[in-house]
Amino acid sequence: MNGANPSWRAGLLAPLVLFVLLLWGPRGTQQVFAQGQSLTDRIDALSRPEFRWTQAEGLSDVQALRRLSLDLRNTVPTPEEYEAFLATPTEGRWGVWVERFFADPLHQERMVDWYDKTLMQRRAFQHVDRATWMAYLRRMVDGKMPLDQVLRGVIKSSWWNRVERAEQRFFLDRGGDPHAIARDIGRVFFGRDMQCAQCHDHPQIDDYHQLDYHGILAFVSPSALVEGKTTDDKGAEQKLQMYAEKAPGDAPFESVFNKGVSFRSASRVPGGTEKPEAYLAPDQRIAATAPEGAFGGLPNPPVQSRRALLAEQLQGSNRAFAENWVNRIWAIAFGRGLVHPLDMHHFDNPPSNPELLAALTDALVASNFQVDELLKQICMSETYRRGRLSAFDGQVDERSVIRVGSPEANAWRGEIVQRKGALETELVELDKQQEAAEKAYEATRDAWREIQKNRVALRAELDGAEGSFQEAMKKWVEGSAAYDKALGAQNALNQKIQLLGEAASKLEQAKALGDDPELAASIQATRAKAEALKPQLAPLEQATAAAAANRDTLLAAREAERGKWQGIVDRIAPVEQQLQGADAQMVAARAVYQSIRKRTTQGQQHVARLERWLQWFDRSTEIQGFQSQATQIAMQRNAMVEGMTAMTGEKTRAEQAVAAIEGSLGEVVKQLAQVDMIVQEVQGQVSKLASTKASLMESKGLLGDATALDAAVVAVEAGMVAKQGVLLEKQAEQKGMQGKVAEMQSQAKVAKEVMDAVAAKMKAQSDSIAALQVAEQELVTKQTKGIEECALLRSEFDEDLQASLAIAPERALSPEQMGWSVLTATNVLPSYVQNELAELQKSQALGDDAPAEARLARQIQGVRGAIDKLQSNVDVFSNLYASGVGQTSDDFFASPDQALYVANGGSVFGWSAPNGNNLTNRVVQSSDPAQAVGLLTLGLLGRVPTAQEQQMFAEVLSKGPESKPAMVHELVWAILAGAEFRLYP
Amino acid sequence: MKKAHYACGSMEHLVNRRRFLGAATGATVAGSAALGTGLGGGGVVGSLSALASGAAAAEVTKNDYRVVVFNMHGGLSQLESWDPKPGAKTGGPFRAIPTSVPGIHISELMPKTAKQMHHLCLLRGVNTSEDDHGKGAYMMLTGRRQTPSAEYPQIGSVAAKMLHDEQTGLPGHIIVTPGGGGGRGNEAAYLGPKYSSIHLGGDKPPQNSVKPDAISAEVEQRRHEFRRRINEQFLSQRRSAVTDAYTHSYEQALRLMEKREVFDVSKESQAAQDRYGTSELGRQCLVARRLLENGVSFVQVTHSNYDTHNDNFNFHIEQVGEFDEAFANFIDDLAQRGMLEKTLVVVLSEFGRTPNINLYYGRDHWSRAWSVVMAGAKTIRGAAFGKTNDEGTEVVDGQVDHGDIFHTILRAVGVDSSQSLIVDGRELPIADPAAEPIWKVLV
Repeated sequence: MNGANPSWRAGLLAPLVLFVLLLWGPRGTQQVFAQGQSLTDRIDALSRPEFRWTQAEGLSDVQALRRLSLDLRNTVPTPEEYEAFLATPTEGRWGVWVERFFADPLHQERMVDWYDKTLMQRRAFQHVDRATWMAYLRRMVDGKMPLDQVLRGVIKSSWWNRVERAEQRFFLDRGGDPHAIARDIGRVFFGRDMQCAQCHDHPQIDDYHQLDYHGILAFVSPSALVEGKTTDDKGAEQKLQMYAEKAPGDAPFESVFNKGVSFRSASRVPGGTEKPEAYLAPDQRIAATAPEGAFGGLPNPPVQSRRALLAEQLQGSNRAFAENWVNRIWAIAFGRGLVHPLDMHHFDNPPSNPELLAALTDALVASNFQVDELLKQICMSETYRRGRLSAFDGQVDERSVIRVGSPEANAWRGEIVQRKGALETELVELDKQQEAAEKAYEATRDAWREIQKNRVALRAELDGAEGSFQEAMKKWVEGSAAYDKALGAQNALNQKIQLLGEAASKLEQAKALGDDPELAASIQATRAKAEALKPQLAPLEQATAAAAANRDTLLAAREAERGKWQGIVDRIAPVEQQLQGADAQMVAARAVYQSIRKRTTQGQQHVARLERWLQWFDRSTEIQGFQSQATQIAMQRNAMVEGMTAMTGEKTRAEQAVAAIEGSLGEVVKQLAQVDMIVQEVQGQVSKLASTKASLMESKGLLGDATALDAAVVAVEAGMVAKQGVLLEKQAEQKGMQGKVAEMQSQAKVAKEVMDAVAAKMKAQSDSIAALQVAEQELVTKQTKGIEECALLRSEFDEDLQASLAIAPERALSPEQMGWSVLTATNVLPSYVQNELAELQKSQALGDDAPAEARLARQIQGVRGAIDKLQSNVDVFSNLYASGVGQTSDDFFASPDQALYVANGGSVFGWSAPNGNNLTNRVVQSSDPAQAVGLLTLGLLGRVPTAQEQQMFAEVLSKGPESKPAMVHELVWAILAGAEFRLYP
Repeated sequence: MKKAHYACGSMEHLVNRRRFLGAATGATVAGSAALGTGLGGGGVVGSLSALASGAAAAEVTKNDYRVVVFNMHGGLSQLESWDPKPGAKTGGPFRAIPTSVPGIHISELMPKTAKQMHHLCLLRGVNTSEDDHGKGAYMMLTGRRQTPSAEYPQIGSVAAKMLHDEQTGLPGHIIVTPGGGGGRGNEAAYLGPKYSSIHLGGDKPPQNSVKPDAISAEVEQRRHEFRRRINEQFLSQRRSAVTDAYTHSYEQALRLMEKREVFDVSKESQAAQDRYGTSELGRQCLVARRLLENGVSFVQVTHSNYDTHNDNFNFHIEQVGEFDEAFANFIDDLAQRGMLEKTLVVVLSEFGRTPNINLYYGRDHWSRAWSVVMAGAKTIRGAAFGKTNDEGTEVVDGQVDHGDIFHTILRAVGVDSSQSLIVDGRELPIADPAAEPIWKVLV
């Protein structure tokens, strides 16, 4: 594990630093703007970051221009616009360009796109074609129709009128389905996705009740798709689906969670009370006559229109409605709402900046819902021009850096702790208030439910009476028809008799001219016929009289039923009145509860945010601790490793000593063995001599003369004496050597002991080193984990900072922005516009002296002509880069099929080729390399090149004239395909 | 009073979506800028990437299971396939034949499939009560009834989300359909378009997956090198999950181009091509096998069109015959290659056909008693689950519906079908909580 010291760990040993923690002082809840302050100033004042070090550096103006152009025109500035911007005197420059972009026809197209995506969420064109829809939206935008008015039109959408049929697209292309429409009215108009509240109170969002959902549903439940008959431009019969409103009626609903508790809801908007309606008898609900211009097959409109009722409430006075639209307008400029996600307004998801939302809402309402006015004020603010980098990103200057543990850092930490403590104290109080408010609300709700029970019962009764009433109506209608039929028969007979009489009279006149027997016969026959018919008259008259009587009886019966019906209605009236009172109380109590709970949530979120900072701070300190510990251990370990080296020498020496002793011992033992052998040999010789002597002595008795023998014995004895001398000598030598061996053996033992001791010492040392390594590793692991945690916390800050407007949100270009931006950067769109204008000029010349409106109209015409021609190219981007149908926003995602299109689809690479006066060609033609490099980054990305880019591009541009066009072409494509082009600055 | 918040253990719960994006791509995420505290300068890249992918790995247990769906478009007749009723007045003219599993008989129109029965699991008790083509198809593919106020992702998108490993460089959700344009479908609902299908036209590779001829290899290499250098320069200052996902998508695209051969069945041996035959379905099966082998998690092939209101029997002779050949081959091939252990094969329609034979010798729409077939992965082998009555008009045993089947598909590939995903603060169960897996057909 010695190798486990890669460079990154060395990096960790570098001083641990934190960024400036200078407080700007808390942002109070008191009004921070002075009277007469512009909205732009208010925006800046209200979005001041909580701590200075969390605020981003401002963006360069050119970069901001890219943002502005994308937001206001759905496309990047052209290279020429960037250049013109830089050429504008800096004093007041921003304002000049904000105005310029607002006045650009592309801005109108952008707003058309906004209306389209917001209202239709990329739904397919089924009942209304694209051209009709776009023409309608363009009319709204061109006429500067106030937003609320447009939205009222969408809801009311005069369905008998073909001219404004596009207005109905919101309903038509949702298939006229009441639930789909109710959900989207909630989402789009009020920022509340209450999908899950259809069958029960929302399981995850406490603020969305089943009652809220059905309140919205009631506005559209009487409407449905109906086929109307009309004629087209050529006079041929045409059948068109219309979203027509029929007679109202409401359905009871019951929670699938709480069986048996059933409700009836009249219409109500979020945050509002039920809208009372007059109880109209079944025969009085539909207008007697069709509206002017209505075409066939459609029912007459109802006397009380629920859609009209909803439309009436789409006003500034409805705060939920106004706040939702402010939030959506804000999202045009910031890519996210002050409440986010956009269709999740509820008390557990409060706005990130409630004061700002309130100020903007007031301003939108005061401006009579002029979207552009609000948007302009937003775009003028400093807040809008904030950068992406906060002090946390390590990009700020030296002054901002301090050390963890330094007095400044501690002061900052103290400040956070204090703020958090204060908030927590407030929260305790708020919690109490919230509990009380909830109880109060629940009491009013229970009271309302009690009365609601009465209404449900009475309404059930009324449903019965209504059935009988309808039945009586039907019978009366049948009776009337029977009477009409009887009367018809009677009249027919009368007429016949009369005609016969008249015929006879005419014949009489003819007869007066000359007597004719045949004529006389005819007269008689005619009269006879008439006479013969007369008796039939009486029964018919009787039948008519009977039918009349029956009809009158049925009428009376009908009126009796009406009376009964009315009787119940009269009994409902006081209940309704009671209910209205209770409803008002419930709604008011709920509003109080909602507002307190919103504040509680805000407080909790704030505490959580501070808590994250504290955690980050403490974890950073801890990491620093781990780091210094690790350093200490490393030092200790290094010392021990050095000690090991010394011990290794010692060990070697001991080993050598042992080896030396054992070596000499071996020698001596070898010598001893030799001596042992000699001793043995001599002993053998001595005993041999002894046995020779013994055999000589035996032989002596056998021989007569023993002299020779005696001499031999003497010789043998002498030999024995000599050998024994040798033996003694050798034995002495042997003994000496044995002693030496023993001595050396004991020496060897000692040497071995020394050696073992050194080995043991070394093992202990190496164990300690291993233990230190483990400890160090543990610290490194802890440190790594700490760094990971810090990084996670850091990315959560990033969310916090984006939400609190301290830094610009991370945004990717929408699919349409991506498409139009590629077409703009490559000069395709501008040249199409030029072509359109030239064509228009050819067919209908417009002089320079033409009135400004005419010139502007011409400009718009040119831009729209170009846009319509290029739209299919942008549709390709929409298909690849967009979220699916019905999704509220275009969440960023990246997939290989997008990249495959940009790389191999042919279009993007084709557009990037040098052509005419496009950027690629300008760069190719430029003889000044520095200028060319500048043009590339400015024209495509709105900024100056970095040093690296300077070098890289210069290298490419220095290629010979043959390869330069191709290389620049590739470079332009590469920039368009790069991450920076896809993102907002 | 606070409501208890639902804990679901889904990845979005712990790792929020935006942050997760980058990690999900498997890219090395983050860098010193993301840490940004000056803690160690540029030295922490390694540990951070470990963090991002580690967090992801802990939450999503991707496995190497795959799913392939045979969509028998128009409504396959169960009586001429999986659940024959020879001799009954509703039975039609065809016999039933024995299969490799004693006791299980299927229509004589499927002799080859009969030999593969030991791999299959028949669900003969399907009752979905929906006789409309569009609604029936929606139910079978999403496991839910269509409601106007909510949209649900199809099985292919769910499988891609839960199973697919992006490192393969191939898309996770592919629909092979004759005449498919090569574009992206719209089946993912709230899972996001990332999990929508790539449509393949028969055995043709995806749109734009080949370098235009006008661009030389040299230019191709150079322009992408430019792109990388330009990105590096930008990312050294600003790096996030978003930028990583975006730059990574281009590398993925290049890898897909390299892997383009996967889509090209002519790269298969002649023997393999002969085996799968020249029928369109046969070719689709071969593409499907290649895609599965190369790590695509979900492939849907289409066999069209079974909507036989007229002349049901002649039509089925032809159509089922073609299916039999391709399907039996496919199963056999997967089994031989050992792929069936990890591949779930599903044969479904939007509904079955009426037992009653109409005046035109046709059968009409019938959703009250029909059959779906599964094979492989964690399903039991050689089984017939569920039973219809003698005339095939009603289910008498083992009744299941689209919701149960959806759960079963997920379970069969090791996905807990009772879990939920959290998307934009909404808790969304991946399968209908009112239904549950058919445990008896799962091992």
